[in-house]
Amino acid sequence: MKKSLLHLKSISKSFPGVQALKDVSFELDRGEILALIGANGAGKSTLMNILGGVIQKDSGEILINGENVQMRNPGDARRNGIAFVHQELTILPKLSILDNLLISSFPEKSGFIKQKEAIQTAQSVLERVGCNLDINMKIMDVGPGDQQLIEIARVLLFDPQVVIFDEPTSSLSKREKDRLFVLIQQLKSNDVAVIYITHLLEEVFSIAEKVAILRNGELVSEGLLKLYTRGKIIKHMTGAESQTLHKKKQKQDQPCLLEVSGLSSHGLLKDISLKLYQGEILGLWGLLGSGRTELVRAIVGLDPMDAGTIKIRIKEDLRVVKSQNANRWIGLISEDRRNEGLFVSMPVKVNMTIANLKAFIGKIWPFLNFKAEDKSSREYVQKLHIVLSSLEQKIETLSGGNQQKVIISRWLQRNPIIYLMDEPIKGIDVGAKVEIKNLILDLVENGAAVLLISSEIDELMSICDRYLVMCRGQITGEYPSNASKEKLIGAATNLLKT
Amino acid sequence: MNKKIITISHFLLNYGFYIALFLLVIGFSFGAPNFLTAINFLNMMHTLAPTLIMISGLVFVVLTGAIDFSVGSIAFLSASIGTYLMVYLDVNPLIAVFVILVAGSLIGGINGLIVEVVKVNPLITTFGTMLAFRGMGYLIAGAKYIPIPESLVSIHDWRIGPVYLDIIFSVGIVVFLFFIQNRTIFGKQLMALGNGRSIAEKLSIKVKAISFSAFVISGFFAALGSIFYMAQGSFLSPRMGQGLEFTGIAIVVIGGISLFGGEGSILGLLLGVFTVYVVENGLQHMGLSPYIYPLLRGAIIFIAMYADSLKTRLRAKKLIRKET
Repeated sequence: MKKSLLHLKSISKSFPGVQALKDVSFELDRGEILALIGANGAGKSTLMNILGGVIQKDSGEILINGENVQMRNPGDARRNGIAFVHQELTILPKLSILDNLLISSFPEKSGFIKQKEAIQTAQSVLERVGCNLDINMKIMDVGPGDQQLIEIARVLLFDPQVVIFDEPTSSLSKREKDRLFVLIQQLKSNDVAVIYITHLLEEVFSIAEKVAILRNGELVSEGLLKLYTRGKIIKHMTGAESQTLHKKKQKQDQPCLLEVSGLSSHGLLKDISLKLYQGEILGLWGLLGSGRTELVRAIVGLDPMDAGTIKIRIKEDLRVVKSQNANRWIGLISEDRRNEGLFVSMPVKVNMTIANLKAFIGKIWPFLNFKAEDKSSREYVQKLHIVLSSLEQKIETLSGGNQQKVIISRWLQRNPIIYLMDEPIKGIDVGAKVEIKNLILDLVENGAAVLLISSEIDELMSICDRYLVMCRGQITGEYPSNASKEKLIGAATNLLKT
Repeated sequence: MNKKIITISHFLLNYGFYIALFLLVIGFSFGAPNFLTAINFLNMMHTLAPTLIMISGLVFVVLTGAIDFSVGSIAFLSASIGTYLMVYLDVNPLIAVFVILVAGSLIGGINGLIVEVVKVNPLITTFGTMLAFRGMGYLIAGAKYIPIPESLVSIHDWRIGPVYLDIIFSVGIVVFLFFIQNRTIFGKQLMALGNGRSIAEKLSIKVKAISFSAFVISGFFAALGSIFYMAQGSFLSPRMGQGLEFTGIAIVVIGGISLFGGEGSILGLLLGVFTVYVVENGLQHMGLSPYIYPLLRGAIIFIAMYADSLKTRLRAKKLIRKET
């Protein structure tokens, strides 16, 4: 029997509460390019982290050239010829290209660097990846595309047999991407196997020859790419059953509460216009890095905008508002709950009232009225069914769902008319998800408008009235509530034109 | 347009202190005729050599992105131990010198342990040990001036031709450390650590060991400097190294070594030490009140820190622009 270069045999891995990988097997041969695809959370990264020695598998085998190998740490992976180009670069910004390339492999003699040899090695590997920069340049003066190439060059120094690329194009321009693809083809012709992780289907079709599709931790389909169509891949990614569900009726003729027109920022966002109506949940769907978060941040003035206007309905009238002031009417629930949403080591009460302290200050006596603060906090704890032992409890000890409720209650006290919610149900258990969604439904019932971002498309589809799809900083489509899942996913990967 | 402003300000931030030093030298040589002479220059170097040695190891700590406020106190404590041995126990000065160096390294190691094993922030750690080590020094040697043996004092006067030995020695140390920084695996990993601890960890660099070693090196050179410092004054002074936590760090920063870590060359130390001492020496020659020195030192420290933070801020701006 022919032994393939890399053979993964029934790999399983579970994290507390989640079966991340279930019995995944596939083979890869020299000179093959395999695209590993799947939605967010399908288990792609888990699988590759196991292969790269970053995390440990629960069961299963990894065979290289027919031999069973253990990957206990990244060093093991490297010794077995497996190189991993992470999505997040591991470059040292203030050091030179030379130092960055060789930091873990300087040619040395008892600790002293052989400078000449080092320069030669660095230059030849840079040439190999087609980067002709001066090796004495500091990395921070180098563009993101070249940084990526340098990261790849570093990996090539070990002469790997398998190179894993994890979403390598997310920070690259078109030209840099082309250069990367040429490089991958070169690797292929040198008999190196490549595993390419992505969720952009166009890239899959331009470089891969084999494809493996993961969904919910299972390998649902695998084979030669030419046997697949785009539609078929999407179907495998999302699951065969295509459902268009919805229960809420769109209310007619509601006034527009928020109008954004021509918003551009730094090239991250291009000419974005949208309208948000009263009583509406507008789903903003797009892949990671499509500009969703940047958009909501720009609207409330957290990121600067280069062009565009924001209008908010104030006293029955749409008025132009500076984005810096927009947070008076807009409540933002940030994607990064721990770092941007909460004061993690402070009590629940503080976290609840911090945005609205003015309400607890007497007109004449300019100090906080603790009793009123307590009373108001307790009221919201009851209203939102927040589970806690005391208002003085540190908020980091609450569960994710309860933390999120505290954040929502913070805004409820301010009672803004517009809510921008960036991944409000991320990392929350199933029960709490329903509660949060009900809260959102209550909000719009009471006349607010919600712009909702979520990577979990099923969750998004269960409550939204309308969808906007973003791709690469632009709004690429608007869909009614009964749009199909395939359509939304297709639009986000820029495939299906409607 | 924007780009131009950035390059000009970058030039000023990178070379501003060279220009300032140059202008100061010119200014002082007009104000005080004796200032710009070879003899004055050598005397100045002779004066500053002990300080330069004391803070040369500190640079390694700063390069890792940490800080060591306790260098002055390490110098004093290890010198106190050595003096106690020499003066009260009649130990041979050569052995005492050896003990001083070992003591300095061990004391530096205590800082390293607290930072890396107990996991206390380096700023707090060395601020605490700065007080503690000085207190221990007082306990050992008493808060008084203790004359040290003649044989040790004489190293202050050793010279090769017109150049004092401590000058050659201190500059030699800086050059040696420069070599360590740039031509050894240790030096490169040290810089990597200063560039980002988590990234360095991902690159399987032993960050704890590196950071610990930096503190040991800092302690060692603080102790080495203390020997020359004692020789200079011919006694152990209870005020040895006092205020070095700030002057030292100012010198480091003026030398272009970023307090944020991972950037700068140890050769910059020479620039830093000159700038600080040229100002003081120049003022002396112009016969100004010595009470003005602390004020000026304060101003220099402030300007240096401000320039350092400006540099980082400008860079952040540049990066944002680049990323888009």
